[in-house]
Amino acid sequence: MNGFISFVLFPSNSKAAFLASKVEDATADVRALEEATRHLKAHVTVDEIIASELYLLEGIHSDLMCFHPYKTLFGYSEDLRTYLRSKVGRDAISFSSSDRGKDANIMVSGEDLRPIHEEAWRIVEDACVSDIPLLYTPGQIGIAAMILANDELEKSRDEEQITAAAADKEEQLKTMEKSSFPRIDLRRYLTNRFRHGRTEKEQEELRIQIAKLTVMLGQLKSGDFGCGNFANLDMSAIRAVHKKLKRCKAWGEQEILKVDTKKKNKKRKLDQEE
Amino acid sequence: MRSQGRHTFLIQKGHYSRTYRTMCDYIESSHLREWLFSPELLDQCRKLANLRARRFLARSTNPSIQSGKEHSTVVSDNLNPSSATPSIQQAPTTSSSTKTNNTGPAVGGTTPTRSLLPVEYFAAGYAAKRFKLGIGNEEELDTDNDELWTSSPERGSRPLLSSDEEQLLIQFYSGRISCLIGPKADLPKCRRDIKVTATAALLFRRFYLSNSVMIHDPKALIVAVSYGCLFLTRCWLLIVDPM
Repeated sequence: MNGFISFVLFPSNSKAAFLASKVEDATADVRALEEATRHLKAHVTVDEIIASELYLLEGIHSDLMCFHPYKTLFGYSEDLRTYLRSKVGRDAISFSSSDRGKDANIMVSGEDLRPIHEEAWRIVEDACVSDIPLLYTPGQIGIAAMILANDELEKSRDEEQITAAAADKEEQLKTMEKSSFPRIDLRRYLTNRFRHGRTEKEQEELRIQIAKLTVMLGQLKSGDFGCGNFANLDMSAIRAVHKKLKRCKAWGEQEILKVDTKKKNKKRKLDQEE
Repeated sequence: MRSQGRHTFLIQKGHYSRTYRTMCDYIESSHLREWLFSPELLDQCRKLANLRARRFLARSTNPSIQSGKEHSTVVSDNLNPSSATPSIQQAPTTSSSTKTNNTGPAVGGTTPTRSLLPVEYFAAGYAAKRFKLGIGNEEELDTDNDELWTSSPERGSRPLLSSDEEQLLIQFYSGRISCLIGPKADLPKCRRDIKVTATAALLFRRFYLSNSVMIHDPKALIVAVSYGCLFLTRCWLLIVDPM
């Protein structure tokens, strides 16, 4: 389970940092990004990008090291597959179909875990653009995302079965039973798998922490914890704040200065002509 | 939850030797050591960044008025004692034209000097300093008063943003990063792996823990952070000097 990291070592001089970043081949032209901003109708020039890059490096204290929960999802999926084959792990599985559930030798395959993995991936995508990575570690976010994904999948499948039964769709019910999905108790997996080396109190704290994080991840859809991935942001409020920012901002002062000086020069010329 | 695949190898040349370790362990990383907060500390960092920005805008003079004269940028009163260097840099006084940071050569004969915008980084290791060393900024936050909610008269006495209003903008802009760079980018040329988007979003948020949108343009920052993250898609070597 290797988290991806990148670390650049450079002297305190920010110009050297910028130079150091040029040592490695750029994977995209800065002009492509400029074009992208033009496409988004929010043009940012190359000069502004490069100047902001220096501010950015200073503002994050030249610390570019980041770990993300994506790799942890792969790790958990692999570990879960191995765990569910063990004697202890089999107790955490139950199948929705009565036929499949009778045979104790049927194992959970990678394909059975794929829907959980994909749904957890989507949850982590939303978490990564929120405050969650500043509050919890990537491992905690990964497992909480998997627990939430599992709960949501079970809920949606149960609802499908209820609606199919209510509509008296026997054929649909039969096909759903044939392609039965495993019900995995991920909370039991969390308790059993991370029990070693922890006291009862620590295990309880971990359970509470992950439960709290699972709830927080579920609230990301409503834009909580600074998640900007959803279209339900109050755009009128954002426009009002933007308007206020335009009047009080410190950046872009030189542009105002240029305009003022041009006006003065024009006025001087007109006075001279008169 | 330790990461695996850690390799160590020694390179020796004469008296000079260095140990190279690939794939930095998360437990020893600065991500864990310096960039994890509680919700209260996160809120405190943001309020402090907002307060310092409001102080700068309320007390500093507009450089356009100071043309030809000695520049008199007000340095922030309470510098974080843990900061290595002062946050505001004072530009040298000169009456000749000077090349500025963002734009081209300055316009006009007597060009006013322009100070660099203040950049802070107190959020790095804030939680550790708060709990281990007892260094906090509660006193600085307590001195917040109503006078600092409008900019200086030279800047037009405009109302300034609060911390909550800044967060609204940061939330909006961090959602835009995925449109700029990543697998769902609008422009096909800018489509990259999802980890680029995740790194860009995280670095963007880290920057604005110590700084304010009133001082640094968030639009330019999201592009800069996307550009910077394109260099960070591969794993680098962590150099550990045993000496």
